[in-house]
Amino acid sequence: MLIDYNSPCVRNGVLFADYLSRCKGALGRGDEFIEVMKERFQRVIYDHDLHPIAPKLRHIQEVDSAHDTYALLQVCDVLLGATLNGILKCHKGKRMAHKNAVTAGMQKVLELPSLMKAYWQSQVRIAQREYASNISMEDYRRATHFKYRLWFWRPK
Amino acid sequence: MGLYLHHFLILISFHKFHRDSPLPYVYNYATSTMIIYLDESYDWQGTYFLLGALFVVEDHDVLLDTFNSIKREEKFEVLPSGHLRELKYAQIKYPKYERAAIKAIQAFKAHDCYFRAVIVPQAQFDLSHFGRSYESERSSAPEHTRSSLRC
Repeated sequence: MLIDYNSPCVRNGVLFADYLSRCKGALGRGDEFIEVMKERFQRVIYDHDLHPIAPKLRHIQEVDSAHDTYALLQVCDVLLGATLNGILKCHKGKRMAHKNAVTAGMQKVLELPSLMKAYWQSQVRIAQREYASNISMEDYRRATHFKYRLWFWRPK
Repeated sequence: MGLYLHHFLILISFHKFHRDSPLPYVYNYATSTMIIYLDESYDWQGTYFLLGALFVVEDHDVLLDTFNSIKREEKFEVLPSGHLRELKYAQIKYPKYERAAIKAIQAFKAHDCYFRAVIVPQAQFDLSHFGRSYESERSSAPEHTRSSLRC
């Protein structure tokens, strides 16, 4: 859902996932995330003339965000943390002052009208329409809230 | 004969260096198209579980250099591993971390990249597979995975 709906026309992409230490099994069985993602995105598909189509992702790897090479995972972490802080309606005391400032800064810099569920749920249909119409990356870049989008998932 | 032996010894030492090399595998960005970073987050009150992805469309290395420069500007210390200290949202407790985070968001805005997050109510599934915050990594042994959600 997260990858497929938001990467129109992408082929041969690369996915780096944070090393999810808490998902590792005690006996080394661990999380099957990489295997599931490979099965989902690296399968070779053939077109009508039996020509192979490049997979959406050609490389999937768990990486350590502490490594400078993968430091952009930290940007993802900041955006995600600021988002979580913004959507939670709990009391936020003085200890949260700097985090609250980052959340407010994110809203201001990215010109987000709201982080509330009601607002983003009204935007879901736009995303679904884009996906259904096989939108090109050029059009996707011009779409509403291209820079930042939230999807409040709800079971059908 | 001595020359052959010399070549053989070089070959052995080369093989040993690569086998014992502590360097991680680093992907060659130059040959790839889009690069996606995937992370997750959740609150311990049990409200939401978030999966976030940063999609870097072009100029990945420019954004990466910009971000590392921001950390150097804000005097993030260099750890014994040789890497700069991490900027984690959970650890934003001082002004310099706040400044670095805001600058990182500005850099994100300026570059050809975008962010998406899926927000799932934690009531929809059992987070105990991730273990508790006070448990060590070894004691949390998940029987199931939530991998399908991340697709």
